[in-house]
Amino acid sequence: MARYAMVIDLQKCVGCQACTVACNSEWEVPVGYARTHVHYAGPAGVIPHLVAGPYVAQCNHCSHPTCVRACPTGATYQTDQGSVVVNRDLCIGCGFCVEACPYGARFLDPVRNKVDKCDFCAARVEKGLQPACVITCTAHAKFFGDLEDASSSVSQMVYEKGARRNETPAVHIGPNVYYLGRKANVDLALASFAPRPPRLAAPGRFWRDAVKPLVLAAIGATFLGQAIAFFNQLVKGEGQFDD
Amino acid sequence: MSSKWTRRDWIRRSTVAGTAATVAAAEAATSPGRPGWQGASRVEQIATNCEMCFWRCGVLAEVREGKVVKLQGNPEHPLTEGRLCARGNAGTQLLYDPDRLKRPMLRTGARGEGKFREITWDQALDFLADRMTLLKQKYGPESLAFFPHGVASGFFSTLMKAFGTPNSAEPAFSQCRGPREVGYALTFGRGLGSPEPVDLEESKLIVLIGSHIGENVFTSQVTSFSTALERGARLIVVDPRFSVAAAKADWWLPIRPGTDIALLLAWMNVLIAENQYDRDYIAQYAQGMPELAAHVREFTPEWAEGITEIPAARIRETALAMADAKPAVALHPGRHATWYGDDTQRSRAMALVTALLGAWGRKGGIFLPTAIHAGAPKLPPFPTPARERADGAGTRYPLASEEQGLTLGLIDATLSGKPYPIKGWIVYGQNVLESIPLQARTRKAIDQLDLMVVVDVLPVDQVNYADLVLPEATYLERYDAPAIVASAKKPFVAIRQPVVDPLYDTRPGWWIAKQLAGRLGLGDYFPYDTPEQHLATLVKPLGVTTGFLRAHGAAAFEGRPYLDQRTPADGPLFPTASGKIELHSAMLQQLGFDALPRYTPPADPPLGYFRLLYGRAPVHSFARSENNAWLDALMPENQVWINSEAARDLHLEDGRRIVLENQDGARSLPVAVRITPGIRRDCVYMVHGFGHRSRALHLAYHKGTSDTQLMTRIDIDPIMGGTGMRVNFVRVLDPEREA
Amino acid sequence: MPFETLPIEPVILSAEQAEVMAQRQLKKHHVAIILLHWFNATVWLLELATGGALISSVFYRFAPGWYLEMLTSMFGSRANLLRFHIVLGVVWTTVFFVYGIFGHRTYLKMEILQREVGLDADDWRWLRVRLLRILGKSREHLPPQGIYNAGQKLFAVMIYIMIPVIMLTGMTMAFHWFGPAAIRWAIVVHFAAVGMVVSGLMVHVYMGAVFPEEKPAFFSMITGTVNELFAYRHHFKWWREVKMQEKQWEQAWEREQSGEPAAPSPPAELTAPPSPPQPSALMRALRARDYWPPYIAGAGLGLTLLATFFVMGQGLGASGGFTRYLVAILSLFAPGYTAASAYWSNYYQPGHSPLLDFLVFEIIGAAIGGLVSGWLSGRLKFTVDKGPRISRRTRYLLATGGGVLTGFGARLARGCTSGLALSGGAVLSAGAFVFMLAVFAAGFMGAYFMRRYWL
Repeated sequence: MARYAMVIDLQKCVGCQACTVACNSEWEVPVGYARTHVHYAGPAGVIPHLVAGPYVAQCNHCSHPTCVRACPTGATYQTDQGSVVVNRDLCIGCGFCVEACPYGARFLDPVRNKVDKCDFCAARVEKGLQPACVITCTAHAKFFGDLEDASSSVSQMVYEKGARRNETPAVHIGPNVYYLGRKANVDLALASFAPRPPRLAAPGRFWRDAVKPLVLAAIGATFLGQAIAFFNQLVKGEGQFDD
Repeated sequence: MSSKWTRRDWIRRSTVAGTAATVAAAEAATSPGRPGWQGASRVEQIATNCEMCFWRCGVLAEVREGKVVKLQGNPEHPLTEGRLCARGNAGTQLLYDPDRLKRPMLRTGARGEGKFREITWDQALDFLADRMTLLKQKYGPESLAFFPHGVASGFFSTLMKAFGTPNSAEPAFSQCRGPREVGYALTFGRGLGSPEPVDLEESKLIVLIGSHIGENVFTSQVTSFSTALERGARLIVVDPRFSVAAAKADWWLPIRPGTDIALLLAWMNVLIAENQYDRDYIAQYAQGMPELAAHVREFTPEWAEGITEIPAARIRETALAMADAKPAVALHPGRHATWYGDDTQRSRAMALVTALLGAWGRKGGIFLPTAIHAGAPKLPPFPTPARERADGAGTRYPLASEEQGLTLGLIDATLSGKPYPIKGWIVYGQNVLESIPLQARTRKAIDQLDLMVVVDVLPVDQVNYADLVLPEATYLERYDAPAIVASAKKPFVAIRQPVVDPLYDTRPGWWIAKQLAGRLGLGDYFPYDTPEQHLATLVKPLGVTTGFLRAHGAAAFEGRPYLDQRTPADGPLFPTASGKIELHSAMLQQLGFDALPRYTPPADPPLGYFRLLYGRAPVHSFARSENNAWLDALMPENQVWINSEAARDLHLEDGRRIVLENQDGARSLPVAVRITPGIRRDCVYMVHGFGHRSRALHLAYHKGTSDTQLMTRIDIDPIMGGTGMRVNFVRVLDPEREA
Repeated sequence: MPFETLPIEPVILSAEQAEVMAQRQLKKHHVAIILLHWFNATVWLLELATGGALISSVFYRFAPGWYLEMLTSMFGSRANLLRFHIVLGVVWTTVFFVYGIFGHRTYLKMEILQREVGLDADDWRWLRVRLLRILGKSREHLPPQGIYNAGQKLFAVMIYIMIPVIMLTGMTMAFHWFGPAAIRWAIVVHFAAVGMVVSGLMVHVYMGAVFPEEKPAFFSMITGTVNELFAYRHHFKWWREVKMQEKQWEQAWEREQSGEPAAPSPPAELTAPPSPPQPSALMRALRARDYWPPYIAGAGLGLTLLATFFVMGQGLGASGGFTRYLVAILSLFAPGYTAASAYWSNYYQPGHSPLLDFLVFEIIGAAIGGLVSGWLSGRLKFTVDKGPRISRRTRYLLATGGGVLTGFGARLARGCTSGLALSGGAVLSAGAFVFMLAVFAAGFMGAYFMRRYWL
């Protein structure tokens, strides 16, 4: 078992968006959409005491992902390496997962009509390559590897340098993207792009809370009625109906 | 000795030159591709180098079924080692930009109207050759001016020299790094070149004065910068704006714009007064120390505080931090240096601080270039122009580069007809309207021309003014002269080769120049049939084959970047007149300028006006990438940064569209405000390159606004003719309230 | 003859009467209905099985994990499961549409709908008594029923409403119609509709397969007939209708036997066809022979092909053109899908009409040319070419089936007899000759099985 993770050193990152474009071209993401994007937090404060810094947004490949439960068809699932990926063949483009993601990491690809997001470059990693964003990063600020492997750079950064993840007391679903950097800058970045509570879109709630119980009740009631009838049939014999 | 030392000698020795070699036969071309992956699909990777900006990073173009599907960094490139910025990654969107110039066109409407008819290349080249010959007969060859930019311009430069005109000028000098090259060359005997040999990754302290690394992205420079930060280098950022770099800094000094020389003098004052400069280094390598010490004695931090608005304690603290870290202090010399018209002196002051810290030629400071000696094709001698340059480079502006010239000088000469008429312009890869201030004058000058030719890839505004438009192939479709780079720790040669055939009816620059030369009877200056032959000639003496270069993209050589590694083969350590670092510049004194830098106060903005500052964004290259679909999606327009308190006084809300009006009444296009505490109250800031006026750029047209449009005033550096552009003031007009 | 006069209401039958009636079969279902029923049943079984396994989210699913795993491994992957579900759903929808188009005159009539879904007072009473009887709470007699009882009608009402809903929501999901918000609601509605049908279906299946009283109804869906006794007891109204009909036929037969005159037929002059207009001299000349000799026509076709190569730079074709028509329609409704599909995208780039192709216009031209030729030869008339022993409907069905096979085969072979055999053969393509051989061989073999439809 492995646990893939990414560490982003926000002190090194300059927000140049090389990762964004490399990812877009690697995965043929339609113009105007992105699987990863660099945002900028701040400046905040009063001259000369200001704080600002970049924040790299992408799928966090959470250990307890809310998107997987929201996906009706199982198109979104967790791999053995702990990453959360989308099977496009199964995706029907309903967007429940888009609503469910607290990090806004997902979008509906208007060309393919399927949901898309960072998959930690699964196809590249399978071939022994690093993710496209990691190899292009002009600042060498992105690191990818296996947290379970103590010798990996990500493991050292997480367990020794204290890289942090973007969680709040309300939303803590085990993101596996970690951030390093100067505390004030990382505080601002994480506060500016804090996760929002996961949402189950209205049809989903309606389904889970109303339709599913009702359907099950209807089927159950029918089943019960028929069981009684069958019981009657067994007890009284079939002859009674022959008039 | 110094009396015999002329200005020309100085200029000759302050540039790194290659040596000649004999012509070598081209090697048999083999397929340079190698297998790779894009996503889950197989592709062929071909090494070349990038031209989304001028840094020339190594690229592997991934081709599938004749289409470039992805660009990624070439891990074998010695400078960038596989890293590639957003623009480099987005190069395919230039190649496949539907707005590209597709066929040669002849103007049919009025200049600026944008009406053309398409013609064939034969017609176009015949037309141009005829017109050039006509100009030559009527006004002499000097009446043709050339405005080049980019690697491929070398082929055209050869053509221009052969044609007999000395008048060639690019903004890279007088609108960009000219003052820096001159200021450092006056001090150390050589300029910096490109890429800048700043030893960021080895430095213990980085000093950025106005440099906004991170927003200004050159891949390898960002890599070195962030590597240094990771290794614990400390960072001083001097900038009126809280830049991306400032947010990472240990000291951010929000300086009053235009007062950098005062800060630099105060730093020198502290270093000398507290005896914290590198005494051994200065004693061994420099001359003029007593004069410098005497000169800066009065420029105390307290004196500077009143000018720069940086507390004296901060000035002292930062000076001592530099002293602590010396000599591993990377005081970045900057790149775009034409700010206030006293820029050569500011660059001198920066060079002097570098010298006092012993950082020139030392690990972690500024390292030295190592020349590699490429070959050159055997050409007939160029004709000697009958007349001096028309732009005043070398005469009116004594230390202006005669290789790079003065763009505004040529525009002035075109307008005035003095010292002699300029009647034809050939613009190659340069954007004379967007990159040079005083646009109205440029337009007027174009109106007076008999011949205006633009060779370009995209229909930028200047194309509309051209009599003849020649569509060039993009960098992914053509051979260019190889990059032979000395100012890297490991000097290297890197090639640009086509990864796909040219689209539409476009042609590579070398082909256009060679065809034109043939028609003008100057074919002997292009003694090769294919660019591969040219490449073979150039790289033969380097002991590297074209086959190797085509397969790997680049080859690196041993470098000797530090003073203690230099050998006699590298020439004098300090190729100045005295052979030493000239703290006190005899050359400047001889030419009648200040031998030591002196602070001159800049004009303050009038009441209600802000100083207009400008800079770069990491996803755009000046005015050339705004029509790129991927980059447009990331940053479709620029914004005007206005200080929160100033915005409150003006009753502005964040995101509102405003119009800026400068001191002469020039107005911007509507542009959104970004209200932020991250800029001083006395200035506004915007990213350069937006507000395109050409309707043919369907994505970029009228998005954001152009800072150049608001530059109706310039302060010219008397030493080298650089055009200081940060001398314009703007006030905010609210279009909603005006209406 | 068990009854002298038909009873108005069910009466107690004598053992003898019941004996006779139990032996007699009445025809209840047309063979098409039987086939459709079992096709529908199979589809429902498979769609429920796969659909249940497709809903995997813990929020929504009702099938247990082991079932999901079992189905997934049966199909190899969940993607295959989804593909199967969609393809079968589309086939199902298509069959219903085809049935609706060809059968609408027969089945979509008001009186038939009334028979199937119209609930009267007897029906409502029946529902109450039926429920009580099943639960053992009543021994009251059931009110008389038509050909379908009230329970069946109720079920019919539900499926008549739900099947279109299921089809529409299914298509919405499968082809990303109307955008993500619609897809989200479509999932829920699809699920709810299926849930409702399933609860009805459980009764339907129980009644048919397990409940003893209705067993003859179950077998009627195989044989198409029920015994008269069952009809009398369970569908009295229908039984009476059938009996009345029989009586009328009998009376008519008797009248004919006794030599009574039948209804008068219309005078002959009114039924004679009008005489055709006299053809012009030109047309007479052209019609010197009704059909050209095949050798000349063949050479003409060859020359046409040559001219086409010369003028258009490509040969003749048919299926390629139809593919483009199809792509044009497809791209109208699902441009994204069309552009993304590995196959359709060969004919479609967004922004470029798939119809800008020689073959598209060639087909229009061929149709016009054929029309002109037929007109000139005086052969223009509405007719259905068919074997003498089959009905027009059979001919339509066979032609449709054959057309589907032809279309599929043509695209599989990347060309039809025009594009591949003719144009390909003209440029000596190996594929063309293989194709032609295969066409003749398959035609030769197929002819044996299909002969009775033509002879």
